[in-house]
Amino acid sequence: MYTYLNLLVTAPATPLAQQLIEAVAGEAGKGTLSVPLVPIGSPPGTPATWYGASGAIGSELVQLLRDAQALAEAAGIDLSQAELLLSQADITEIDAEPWAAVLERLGLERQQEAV
Amino acid sequence: MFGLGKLGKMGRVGGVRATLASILSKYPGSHLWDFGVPADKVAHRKNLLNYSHDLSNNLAWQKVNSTAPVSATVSPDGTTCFALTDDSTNADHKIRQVVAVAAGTVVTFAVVAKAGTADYLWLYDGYANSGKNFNLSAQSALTAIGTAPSAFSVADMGGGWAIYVFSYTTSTTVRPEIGISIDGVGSNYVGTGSTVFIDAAGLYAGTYTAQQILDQGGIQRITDYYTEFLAAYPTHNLYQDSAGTTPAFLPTHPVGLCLDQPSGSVVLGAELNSNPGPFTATTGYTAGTFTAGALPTLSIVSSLLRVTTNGTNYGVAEMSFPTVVGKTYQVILGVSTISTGDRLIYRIGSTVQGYDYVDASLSSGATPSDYKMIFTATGTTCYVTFGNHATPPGSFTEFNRVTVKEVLGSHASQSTTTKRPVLSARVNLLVATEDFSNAAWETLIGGTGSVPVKTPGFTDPNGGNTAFRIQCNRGAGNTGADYSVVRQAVSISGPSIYTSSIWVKSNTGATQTFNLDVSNGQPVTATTSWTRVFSQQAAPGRFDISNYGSDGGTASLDILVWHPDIRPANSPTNLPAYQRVTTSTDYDTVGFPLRAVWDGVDDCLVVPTLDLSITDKVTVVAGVTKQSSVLGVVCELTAGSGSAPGSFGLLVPGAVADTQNWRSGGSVPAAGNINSSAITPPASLVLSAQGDIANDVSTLRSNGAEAATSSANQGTGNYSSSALYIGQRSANAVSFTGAIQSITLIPALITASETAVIEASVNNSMGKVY
Repeated sequence: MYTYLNLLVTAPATPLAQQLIEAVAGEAGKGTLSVPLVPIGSPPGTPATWYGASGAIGSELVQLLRDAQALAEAAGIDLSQAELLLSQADITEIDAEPWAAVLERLGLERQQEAV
Repeated sequence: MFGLGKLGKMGRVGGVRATLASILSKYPGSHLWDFGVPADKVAHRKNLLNYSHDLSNNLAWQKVNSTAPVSATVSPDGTTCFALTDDSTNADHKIRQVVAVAAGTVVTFAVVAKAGTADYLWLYDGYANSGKNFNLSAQSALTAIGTAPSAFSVADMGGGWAIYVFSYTTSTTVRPEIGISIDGVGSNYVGTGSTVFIDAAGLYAGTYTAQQILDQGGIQRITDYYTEFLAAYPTHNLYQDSAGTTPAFLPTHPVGLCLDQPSGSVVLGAELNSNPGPFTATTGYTAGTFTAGALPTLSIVSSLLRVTTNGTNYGVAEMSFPTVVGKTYQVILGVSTISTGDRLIYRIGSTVQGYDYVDASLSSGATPSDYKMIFTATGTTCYVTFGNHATPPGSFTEFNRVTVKEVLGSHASQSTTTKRPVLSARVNLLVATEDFSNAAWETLIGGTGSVPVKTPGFTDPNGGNTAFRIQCNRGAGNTGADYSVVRQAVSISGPSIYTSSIWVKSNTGATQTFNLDVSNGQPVTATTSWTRVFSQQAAPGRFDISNYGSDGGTASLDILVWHPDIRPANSPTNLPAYQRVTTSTDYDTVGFPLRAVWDGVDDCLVVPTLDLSITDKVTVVAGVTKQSSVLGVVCELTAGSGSAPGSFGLLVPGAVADTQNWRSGGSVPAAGNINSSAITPPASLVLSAQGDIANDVSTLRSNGAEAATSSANQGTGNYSSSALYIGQRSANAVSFTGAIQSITLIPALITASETAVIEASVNNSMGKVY
């Protein structure tokens, strides 16, 4: 069973978030948070300040994203670390807030790409 | 190169009427990735529960202070049923099942039941806090539990049996419960072994009466839904996971694997099992068990492989075959017999008795059938385990075949769940289209306007009572500040023209006028007869039944309305004019093509290796619906067609605003870089592109007409053996936003008439976009 979420994490917290997601979801979580995001209007080459993902997320992972205690237990980290990690994340249901609206709210855009 | 003339003679190849399949077969090395699902498959399921007729299944049905053993009491269809029995706990006595249904969906819970030693049935969903008590002896409804159900009914089935239903709106989690009651009020009491008999249970999206479910043949039997689906549609090509375990065929299903259909359908390789059946010996199979105890006996009976337990759970047969990592295989287990009281279990994995590919256990009484599994190997040996779940000595299962074949072709997959496109058939951008009392329909007033009144229950064009009466009185004011409006905000995806429509009828006996859509939109007329009225505007952003003083329509509007719809004006023409939409995930699918939608964020399917190094010519035909003006890759060979030699790419839109882009190049990358004329999104397009490196051909057709061509020098060499990216460039860039119906890739320049045949096929699949 899947839940459809927008998941954005600040750049410094992204590596740990990716490790945890892969640890919980296995291959299905590998490569999540791959979209680099920068403040709106940033020139090309600006380092990403956030990384994002949008789409289907398995129920076992969704539960951890909504519960710091459960995340701490599953990941084997302190509750404070789990709370800190979740505080660095912006998680919304796609139906409730489309991806574009999330970016607008956070003042972000996708890092510019070469064609 | 295409230069299509009159289409009247097209569709014939070598004197035989060509089909997409015949053209693909003519050109070896062709590929078809079809992301659409035919309507008959979408309509397959109605009952959302699993093990609907097997309440004893403990995986599907959680038992709470109760049991549900098989009972000899005769069920309505003449077989056995289940005795829902309470235990001595002082608490609720019930069974329940969690179901994947979107929050806010109206569902109907239906249970076929009969009084046992207890006379009352308690049906409830605790997350929605809604339910109903029923009297099984009187076959009547009693009090509501929590929020009153939106509907409920009972229909007699004879012999003391009846079907009991109630409808309610789901919460975030959906978990219908069947409880025993001894007082007709609740299920919370000290149990004494009281029983009620249950034959089956179903959960349906929408509102149904008990009689309507009976008229459909009773509760739809669902055991393991996905297994049953694959048995019914053995050539299905879309799967939710990248390993190909769970089929994708309904709205909201993610697509993690799209099987290549190189000749128009899934193509299987040679048999890989040296003893696939009919059986004359047990060669290649060994007896095994998952638990300590006696091994089962393997024998041959009338050309069937029989696995007989000797008193131990999971008495199974085991076989294995070599696999290549990354290749895709299909296993079909032909089951002829499941002895009474036994259950079938089967597993497929990359280790001995492993189940990382498939893990299934069927209920008692499951119909013997073919069970088909598709998976992509992660190891070099595959192990298949199958046989008996049950313990009684002498229980047996019999198999007529165990076939193993490679699924040929180059399959597109995505292992990361968030990067999988999602199936959708949504066209109407509204929600709650049959419930104007829903909060999605706002009421707005200004100046002298009165709050609009929305009243359900009026006669609709079909003679039912599902129309709403809408009264919008703007009062005496005649300015733009004097208004009374019923509105739903609409999230649109592009600046194109949108068509709004709705059935209307005057409720006063006199013709009335009002504006549909925004203020100063297009006036429409409600006569004394039902009429579907239309208006068109660019990017309206909302659907209004609008009564502004400045518009000059009927001041005290009083009309009946039914079936509102708003969609892009350039939507396919073969679609029904109205699509019921309750929520974003609950809507009509019949008549509306279901296809994968890429989100423009991170969705991407990848064909890991596509060897086109044997050719310098290629034809690509794709059906797409673009939803954004942001540059997006529909398909691209290599990590970047703008710079990599031996590559091609189809970008929708391209870098030039709202154009469609095709590029092809050999040693000179992207030399044949061409753009069609601009079309603002959303727009549905059938695009055909050709590249010929040696002859410097680069051509793009859009909706059956040539759109751009180039004879720029593409250099030398062939195309690459590389990954093909669908919906995104490698490295998570240039993400496509919109739907892809299909991509056909042929390693040759096909003829104009052949191109027309493929274009017509794709166009039909999309519902006629031109």
